[in-house]
Amino acid sequence: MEVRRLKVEEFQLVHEMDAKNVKEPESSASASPSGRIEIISMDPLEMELDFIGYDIAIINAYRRITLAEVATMAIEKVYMYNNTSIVQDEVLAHRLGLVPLKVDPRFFEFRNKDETEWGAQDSVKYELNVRCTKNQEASTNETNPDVLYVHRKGIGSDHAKFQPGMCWYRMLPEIELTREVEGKQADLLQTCFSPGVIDIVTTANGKRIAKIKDARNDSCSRNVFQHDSIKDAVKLTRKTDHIIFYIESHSALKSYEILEEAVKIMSTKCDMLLGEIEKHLETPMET
Amino acid sequence: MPVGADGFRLQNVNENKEKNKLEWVTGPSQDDYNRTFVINDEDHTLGNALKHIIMQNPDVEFCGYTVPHPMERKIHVRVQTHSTPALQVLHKALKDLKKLNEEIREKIEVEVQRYKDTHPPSDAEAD
Repeated sequence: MEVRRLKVEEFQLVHEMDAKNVKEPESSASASPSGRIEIISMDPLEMELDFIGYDIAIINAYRRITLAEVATMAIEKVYMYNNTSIVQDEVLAHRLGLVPLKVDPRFFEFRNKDETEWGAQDSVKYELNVRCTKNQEASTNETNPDVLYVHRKGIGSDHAKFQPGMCWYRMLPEIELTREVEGKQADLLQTCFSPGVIDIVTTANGKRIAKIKDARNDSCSRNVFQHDSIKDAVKLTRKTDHIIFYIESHSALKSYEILEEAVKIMSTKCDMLLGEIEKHLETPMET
Repeated sequence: MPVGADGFRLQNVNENKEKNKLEWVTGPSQDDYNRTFVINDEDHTLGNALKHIIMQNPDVEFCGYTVPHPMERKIHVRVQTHSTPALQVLHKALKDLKKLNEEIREKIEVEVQRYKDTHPPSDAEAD
């Protein structure tokens, strides 16, 4: 009996980097195209880097992993002994959970679901003894919670308090001038783009013409298409293989450590699946 | 929580049953060269990346992935090839994905080191 197969022509994407569209000849050693990584700016809190030549699927996977699966520590259980403040117990507990902590999550392990005791390898205990001393006369302003809280390692997909930071990417914008733009039109063109994108230069015969200085800073507002006089002068595209990647950290992990953890987690996923397949290659199993 | 069509809880579903990570569908559209794999506990993160790698294999005629229902954490990956067993294609793709990962990781380490060397931290930076 002929196996029912899906026809590829209905589903084929034009820009997909599949075997038909990959131009360079595949060597026997590696089937995947290699690319470059350049760090534009980096400090422990924020990082901007460029992925050139890598496919968007992998980059998006890293973005998703940093948001959902890179682990951090956050306050989970709050034991209240004496709370005489206006803030209710649960509201205070919720807010404490959202506080970012400077504990490095890589020293800890995830907690088993069945465990009832909190040990040193998966949690950290804090004690908070706070008394409001601002206005001692007024009784409604009194804030006096004695709380004890435990915090554990978790991931972003469990609760957003466990997210290590923010991560986003965009493709490099590309601007092309299809004709010469001079004088007043050049000034108008310059205002349509973000500052620093278009430069006005004076040529040898005194004309002031517009020149593309650096398309990277453009926020892609496409304002230029509002003006009939210059909307035929530009072509706005994006470079699909040049990704600008931003990571911001608001946890104990530094920005580059978050990226390294994300790549490690992706490798672990592949490993897990590879292990499963190797099991199946010996004993075939079907659902 | 397994819920049936009438809104009440399904009684006989055992949620604690150990799920296999990788399974595949049986039926009329499945044979050695054309298979739909079911990967449990995964979502678009791995699905899209895996699909992209499988598509670069010249023997693959068709590859796609889907999340059958957003409330169930699994993906279906369909692979149709001309002459290679589908499981082998999946195996190779995972190996390639892992290799790509390692490559990226090394490049990141090198870049981070290079950046740290050329931009020494100022004394005003807090720990």
